[in-house]
Amino acid sequence: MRALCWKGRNDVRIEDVPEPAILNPRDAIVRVTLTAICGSDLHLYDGYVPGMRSGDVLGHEFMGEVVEVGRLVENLHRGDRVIVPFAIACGNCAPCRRGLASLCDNSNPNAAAAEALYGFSGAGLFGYSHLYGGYAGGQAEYVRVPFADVGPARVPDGLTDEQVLFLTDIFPTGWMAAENAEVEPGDVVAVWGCGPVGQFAIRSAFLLGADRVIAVDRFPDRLRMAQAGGAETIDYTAADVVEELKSRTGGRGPDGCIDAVGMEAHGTRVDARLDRAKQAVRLATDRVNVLREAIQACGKGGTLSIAGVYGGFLDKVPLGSAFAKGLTFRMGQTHVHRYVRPLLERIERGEIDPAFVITHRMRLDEAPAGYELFKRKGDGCVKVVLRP
Amino acid sequence: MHSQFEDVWTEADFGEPRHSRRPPGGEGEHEGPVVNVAPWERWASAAAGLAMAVAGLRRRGVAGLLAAAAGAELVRRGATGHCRLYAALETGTAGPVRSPVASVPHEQGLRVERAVTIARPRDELYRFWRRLENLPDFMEHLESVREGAGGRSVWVARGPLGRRVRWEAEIVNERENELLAWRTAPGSDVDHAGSVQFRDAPGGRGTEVRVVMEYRPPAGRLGAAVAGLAGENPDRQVREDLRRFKARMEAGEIATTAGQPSGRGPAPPRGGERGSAGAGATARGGAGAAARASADAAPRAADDREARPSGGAHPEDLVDEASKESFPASDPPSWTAGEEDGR
Repeated sequence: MRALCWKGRNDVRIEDVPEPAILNPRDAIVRVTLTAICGSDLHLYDGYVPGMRSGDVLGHEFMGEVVEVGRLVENLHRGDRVIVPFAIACGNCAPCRRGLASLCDNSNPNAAAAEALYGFSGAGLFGYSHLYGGYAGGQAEYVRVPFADVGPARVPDGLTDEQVLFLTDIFPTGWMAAENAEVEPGDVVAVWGCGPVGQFAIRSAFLLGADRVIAVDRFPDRLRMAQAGGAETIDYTAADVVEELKSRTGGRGPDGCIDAVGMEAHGTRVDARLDRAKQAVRLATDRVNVLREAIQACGKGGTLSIAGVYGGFLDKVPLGSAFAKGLTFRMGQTHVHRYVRPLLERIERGEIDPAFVITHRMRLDEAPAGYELFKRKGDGCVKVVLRP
Repeated sequence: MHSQFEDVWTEADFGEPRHSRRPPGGEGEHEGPVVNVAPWERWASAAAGLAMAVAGLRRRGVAGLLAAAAGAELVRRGATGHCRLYAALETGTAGPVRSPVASVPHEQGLRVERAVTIARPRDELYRFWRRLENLPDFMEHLESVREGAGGRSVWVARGPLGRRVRWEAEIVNERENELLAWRTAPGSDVDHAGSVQFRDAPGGRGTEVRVVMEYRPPAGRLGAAVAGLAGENPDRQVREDLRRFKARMEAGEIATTAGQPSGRGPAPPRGGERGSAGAGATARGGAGAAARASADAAPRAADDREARPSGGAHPEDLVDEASKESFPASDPPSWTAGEEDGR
């Protein structure tokens, strides 16, 4: 079958690889009908995630048709149309029982490696480095889905692939970002980053009752998409974000701040340039300027929600500011499983149509060009979907 | 029960050790003094004693002789591990561990202790473990365990180079739903002992399972095989086995990627059995078997390394190796040359 393989930094290719097979009794094989390139795939593409091996199949946002199920999968049948959460969860361990699917104890065969780095291991993820299990991903014609009896969700015929695909990651991720910002009616929420996750965070914040959402980015087309979602916007290349947010909130600062950027932040301030230089020579693992700005901008007693991915040790995080203002921090990989059904219902009710974020539709074969386009943010690119 | 258990393990040993624990000559065969000096101290004692003896002999005279004698005593103390002063004071640095989980004498070999919390009831976990035939389900190196009469069992493990190692073990302590301790039978080629303890975790969090294993550092004709048995790193082996035990008991299966596709093997023949997208999918009777056959081809062998720590490639190593691939230190990130914009 054809699959998108990571061959090294800035080098992904479509290759012929063997088709997947059932390896465990709770596995299923899914024939992919639609998949997407995620912003976090760019961290792999750019070479900032450790534990990648040449030949790894990428992709963690995918959906398709069940073509085979393992002996113990009773709730899925051949022909079922499903979306598959990007996190792999057993459904039995203590974190899974608490609804923390992305912290599953039992789905990462390389847990020891993650433990060595982070103290504990999170769940296995599709196509996201050997640190997260080394599972072959979904930018391919077929995928093996472990613990298929708890992950995949059947989708109603009335909804198109494009409407439900993002239930696999970015819609729940944006939703959890807003939930983690503890959005309440009347709140003003600031969102850094108007990529796909930021876009869903904006709309989720409104669905959760936010009064105003202020979005920060620099790309006019992304800011326009944010405005279309109801947000006010700040172009950070033209303003001092902290002062601007203060001014626009009557001096209070936002009640909730969402970092939808993560480790590869861009910025104009001196600390952003320094981070960039340090990361270039591997003195730093992450670029931290968005996080610093969000901490500084957040109103007293506010909540900081981190949806963007961070990977290592962060330099010069102004914890003093966070402490002085009594901020709450919430973060983590998305516990997709617990959001799929409620969000699917919202889509069915017409509260949101996630397809709004798609700007480019390509064939799987064109994926390498898609990565480059998405990375460069050329041609107004916000979200690329791929059809095998 | 406790004291009996401790007695078994503090008094019994692993058969005749290579570095005899009895001082040559002197005390009787059956009541040899126990080792009461820790290994590091024995080395220090021997080294200091040797230096002292040499210095004393060079000095000559009474003082020199006394120094040489004292040095000789230190060397003896180091070599035998028995300190007469410690014995007189009923103390020592190599004392046995007075813990109910200790199954083997302290400092007598390679000791590993690991714990894991499993979200299953204590009795269920105990029952599974107590049926020793189940152990190869999650103990990576074990091929089979066969229980015989009188608490004895025959264990077969895979050693390095495909060699099989076989030994007999006996259960030396057993408290239902609480504790199980075993060791290799006297005269076995493999010196190994272990115990597993089951304890309720607080607040209904399941069961805390604690394993203590001890391996006598291997030597002799089976040395290499035993090294493989213990894993080059027994700590790692115990940790991974416990992780697999947890997965087996909680999820019913152990996560793996061994046999999955990747772009590392040789390219498969064009037009896989499922056909290109869409074609084979709706009418694919028996495709599963074909898929297995295809995945069984060369790429699987290559990928086997991904999830089989016993193959010598442990997850950490793989990630280290992979990190080198993905993090070429000499190779700056792409955006250093011509980024998308000037920021």
